[in-house]
Amino acid sequence: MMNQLPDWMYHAIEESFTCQFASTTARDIPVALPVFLNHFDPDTGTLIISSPVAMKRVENVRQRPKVAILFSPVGTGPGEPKHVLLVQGLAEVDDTNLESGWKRYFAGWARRQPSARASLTRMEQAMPGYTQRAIIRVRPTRFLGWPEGNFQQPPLVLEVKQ
Amino acid sequence: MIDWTEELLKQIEASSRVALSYPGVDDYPVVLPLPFAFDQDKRCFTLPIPHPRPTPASEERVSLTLLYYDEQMKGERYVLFYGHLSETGNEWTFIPSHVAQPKWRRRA
Repeated sequence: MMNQLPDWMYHAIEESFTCQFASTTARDIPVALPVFLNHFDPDTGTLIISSPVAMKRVENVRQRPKVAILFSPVGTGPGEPKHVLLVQGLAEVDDTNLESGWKRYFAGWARRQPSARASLTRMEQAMPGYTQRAIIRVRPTRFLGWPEGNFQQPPLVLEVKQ
Repeated sequence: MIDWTEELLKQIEASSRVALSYPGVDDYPVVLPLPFAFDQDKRCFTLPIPHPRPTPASEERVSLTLLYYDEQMKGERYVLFYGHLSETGNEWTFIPSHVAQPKWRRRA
């Protein structure tokens, strides 16, 4: 369990379209790439994405589990939150069932990208291994938030007791 | 070395924002979404420094992800640059040294 977050932080997470998942490469350089959040548990704070197991991101997380996820406006619609939220945390890779383990969280991805369900087959053809996906679970250690995306104010920082 | 093709320059022009990534003080990545300007002649990006001024743990271990929404693909696309970050007044200057582009067009 973790302390309750401000409402706008939940909103920034739940109403996000994509988010930027940052892992650290073998050369120790953080790299943020867009992903679709699959699941967020508001009680534990755990965030879940899935990723083709062959992607460097998966090995990055295995070797260097300190990660960050950025939620910020993408520009997809008027209802999109303007708030910016950076979640830093410790990630772990679950590759026990690459074939279908990630499908139990797929609804959260499809809610953000309705075309995802129809495009899976095409993506698998374009990139063999696309549907061989590891689950990446992120246990937050810190939330840094900029209400209304105002970077001229210090972020609101919420530490999570481990 | 970066091959500054016309296509790459068009992608930069189409991008509305960037995500700047650098290591924080405790080695957790920091990612900031920032507006940017691209200098066509010097081939570098300038970004406003937030207040209070963050202190990246390294100016070399930095990457810049250009992000743009592709209406046709209904997804967000990106171009990733590695490079060097320096400060000039209230701005960061990012000079790219390498570029990486996704192997497939739609990212999930």
